[in-house]
Amino acid sequence: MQNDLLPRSQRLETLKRLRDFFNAHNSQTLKQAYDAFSLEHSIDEDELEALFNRYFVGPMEPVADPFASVYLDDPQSVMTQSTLHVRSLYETMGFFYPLKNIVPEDHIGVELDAYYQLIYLEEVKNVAYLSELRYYFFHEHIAVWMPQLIERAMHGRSEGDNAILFILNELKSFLIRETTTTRSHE
Amino acid sequence: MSYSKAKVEEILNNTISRRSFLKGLAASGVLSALPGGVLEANEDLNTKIPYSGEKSYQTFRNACPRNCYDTCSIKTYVKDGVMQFIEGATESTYTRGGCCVKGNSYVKRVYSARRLKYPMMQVGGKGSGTWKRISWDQAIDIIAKKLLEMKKEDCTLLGVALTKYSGNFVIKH
Repeated sequence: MQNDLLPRSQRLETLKRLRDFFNAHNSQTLKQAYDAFSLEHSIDEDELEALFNRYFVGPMEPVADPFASVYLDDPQSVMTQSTLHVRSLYETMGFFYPLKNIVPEDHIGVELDAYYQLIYLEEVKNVAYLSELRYYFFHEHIAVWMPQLIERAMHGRSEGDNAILFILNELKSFLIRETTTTRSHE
Repeated sequence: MSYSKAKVEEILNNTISRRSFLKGLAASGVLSALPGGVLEANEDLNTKIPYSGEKSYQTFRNACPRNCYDTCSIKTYVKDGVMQFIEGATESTYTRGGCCVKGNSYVKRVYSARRLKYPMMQVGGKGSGTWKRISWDQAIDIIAKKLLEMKKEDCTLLGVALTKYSGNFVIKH
């Protein structure tokens, strides 16, 4: 469980908020996650859920699918090679995924959760054993597909969808900040 | 900071390197330091190294659930927990390995990015596009209530008349 007595950086806080937002499974948890960003722009709980569903869930074609496989392998499918690659990464990082074969491992919320926990290990616990895997996970995977999701969501965005615009900008800022922190030396 | 892509891929793809890395992981205290979230620490790692990358298929015998009378006998081939393809079961004395295009496309159906895995209700009126996630219990209650209303009003359920292969056998039964 999260040790809330330990100080956490802004980087961790932002990651946690993004993770909670994309993992929300009902209007209450979604609104809580959204409000954690302390925004000037407020939005009604049901309106936020409808907006979130239109962008990332369905039942009509979502504006931007929240799975890596859709951007990296096949626009029509989940559970592709990318998903299995992420599954293998999680196993190698020591993670157990209780939603295996229920929600694909490359869902944006799950990936942000993994990344949050890896940053937490380094920043709060000073454990660097998984650092190289984290860099790899970010640069070879997250940084490849999440910008495509942002681009697609921005492209399909309707005027007035400010709540989603804010979240996408937060995600974009997070990706830019992380991209500047590590490089592959090959 | 930098990282070696080749080194990480060696850990991921080479069985010996991976086992060695996972043993080090279990011994380094990483598991107890993970904060937990959607993903949890794999406590079994102390005793059992996870194995992925199965080389052979698991085969399952199924009846096609696509709402036809034939309910074709099929075989499903699964690798790494993921359905790879299906084929008609030649052992069946009734369908004799036959399987239509709907059955053969089952993998695409199951793993379609468009597939919904829970019920949603349009709350802003028909055509509003304002969808809300609801529970299965709520969905079944709503549908049952509507059906009973129709039955009471029309004294029949022909309003939801069975159309073969349309997906509504369940209502009939």
